[in-house]
Amino acid sequence: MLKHFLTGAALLLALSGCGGGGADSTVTNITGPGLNASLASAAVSVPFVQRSNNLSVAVEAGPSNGFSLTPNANILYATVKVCVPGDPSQCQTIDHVQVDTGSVGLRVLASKVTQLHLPAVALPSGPVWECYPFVIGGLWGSTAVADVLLGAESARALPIQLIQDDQGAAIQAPLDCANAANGQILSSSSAMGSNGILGIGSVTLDCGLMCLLGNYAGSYVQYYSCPKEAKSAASCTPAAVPANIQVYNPVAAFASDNNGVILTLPAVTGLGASTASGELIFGINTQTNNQLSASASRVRLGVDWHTNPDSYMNVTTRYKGQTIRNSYLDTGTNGLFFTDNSATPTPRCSNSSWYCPTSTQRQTATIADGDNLLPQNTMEVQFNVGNAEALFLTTNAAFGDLAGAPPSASSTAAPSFSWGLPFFYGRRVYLSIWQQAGAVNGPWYAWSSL
Amino acid sequence: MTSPNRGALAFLVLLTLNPAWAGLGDFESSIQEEKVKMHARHAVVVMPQYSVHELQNSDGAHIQQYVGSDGRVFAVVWHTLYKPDLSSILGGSYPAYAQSARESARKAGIQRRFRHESLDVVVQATAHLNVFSGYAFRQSMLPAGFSLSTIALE
Repeated sequence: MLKHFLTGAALLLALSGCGGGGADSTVTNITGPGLNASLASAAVSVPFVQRSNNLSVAVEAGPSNGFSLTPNANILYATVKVCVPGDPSQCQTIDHVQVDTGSVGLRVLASKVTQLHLPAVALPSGPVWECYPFVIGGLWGSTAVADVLLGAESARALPIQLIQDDQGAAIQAPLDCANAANGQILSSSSAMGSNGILGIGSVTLDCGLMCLLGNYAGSYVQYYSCPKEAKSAASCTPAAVPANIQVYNPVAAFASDNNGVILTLPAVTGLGASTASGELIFGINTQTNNQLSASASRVRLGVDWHTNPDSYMNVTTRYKGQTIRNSYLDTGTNGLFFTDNSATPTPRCSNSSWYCPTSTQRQTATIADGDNLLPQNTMEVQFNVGNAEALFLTTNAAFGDLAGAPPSASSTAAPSFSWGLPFFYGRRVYLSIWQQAGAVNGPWYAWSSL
Repeated sequence: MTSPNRGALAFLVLLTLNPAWAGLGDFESSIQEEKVKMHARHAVVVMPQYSVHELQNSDGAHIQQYVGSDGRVFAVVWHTLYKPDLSSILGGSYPAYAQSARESARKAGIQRRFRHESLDVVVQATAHLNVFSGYAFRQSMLPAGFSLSTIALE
């Protein structure tokens, strides 16, 4: 999601800084140096030393996006290296790939690997293509096998997706995929806000049993096979794809340090930071630099799909008296997004669903296990809600106090709570991967303060 | 990307070619068509004010359809390991949903939650990891006293 572009009216309102207000007007007081001050705050970082199992990551402006005049906010990027399998002399380095713990699989713009001849993931019926949907919007592209290097770690012969960004030559998305993507197939760095997505979430595969069986009844088709010389999607057919050639979590595909990640980002306070640089460590309890601290808070994600589906792959957040089962930590969400149905709700901005309290609010929630396990792990979390309009007046890329209501949510919306990137600032956050060592019975999150 | 006109045309064609079109606001009998389409197991729980039809896939994905005393579907809930084809689930409410989703999708980057509200129809959807969940209901068709917490994701 994006920063909302401020209209002239909102800008004036935000800068006016004083004056009375009738029943229908609001005045937003911005504290700090004021109009002629630099609009960029200092950069912040945690120390980074290259080791065998870590990757430098940063929140920065990134590629300009084609939907808004303002830069991206709170997008975490890494640089990845993609190589022809077994040939370390044939590689391309791709900068500004978004680090996303809410999805699975490496997906990069096809135009970023044109110098490599990556072998296609192929079935007897032809190369495999994928339509990867988000809740709205989605991606289309072929799949290929690559050696993926993240820092010094490598995932050998990993199936990845090459996001179709060539509007001319190759196979364009079939109608079913355009429908799955709500007419918005992201096919450029400006539409993506990145050159790709590094999906390193809590599971290993990007699809369920349906893709193994090729039974897409009642859903959109996710995997296709398209004959080698196909010129259009008309010759592509829905495909059953074995797990070992589906797009796969790159971390889980490492030979070691493959049971999760630890993300450390510096604290970002006040009006934000121009950039925020941190460290992504691979593996949990596999080396001296990734030991789970005894003082870390730990909660389990729900795994009881049949009797407790609202909690599946989620934790439970309690906020202002409401219990929210559909809650998760996610680096791919750029703010804290929650509904506030309390009697004195957090004030919203006048022109967007972001929150705009007149002064920064310190708020509290708890995060507990997804399933109702006994004894239940419950952790208190404090967070700041800043004035989003004030934050967006800066040219900063990292905002620790950025929060909003879910898009389009009215006061009748069911409660939800997404702990996006602001949660990660100032913390060391552990995210395990289900079915790997240490998370065999289900994935979990843990965190400690820096 | 398909131009809006071509998209609209294709959508009309889909409607006419797809007799299994069924869902929110439709009659209970349409659930049978949905069952066949999903290759699903079907269970019904009958309560005094309404009944709940549950269609379940072999991977545990399930769709619940709430049917009122007038025999029509007034609410739908889904928990699936794939993106469900909402043109079936939302029935006649789909075109308005599709329009608002198309507008909201015109944003850079990843989106994980979406809500559509019109005067009568509310759709709330999330997608995180490989899990898609959501609910939809027709305000005007809710049985008297029906609590939304029955269907709403918490």
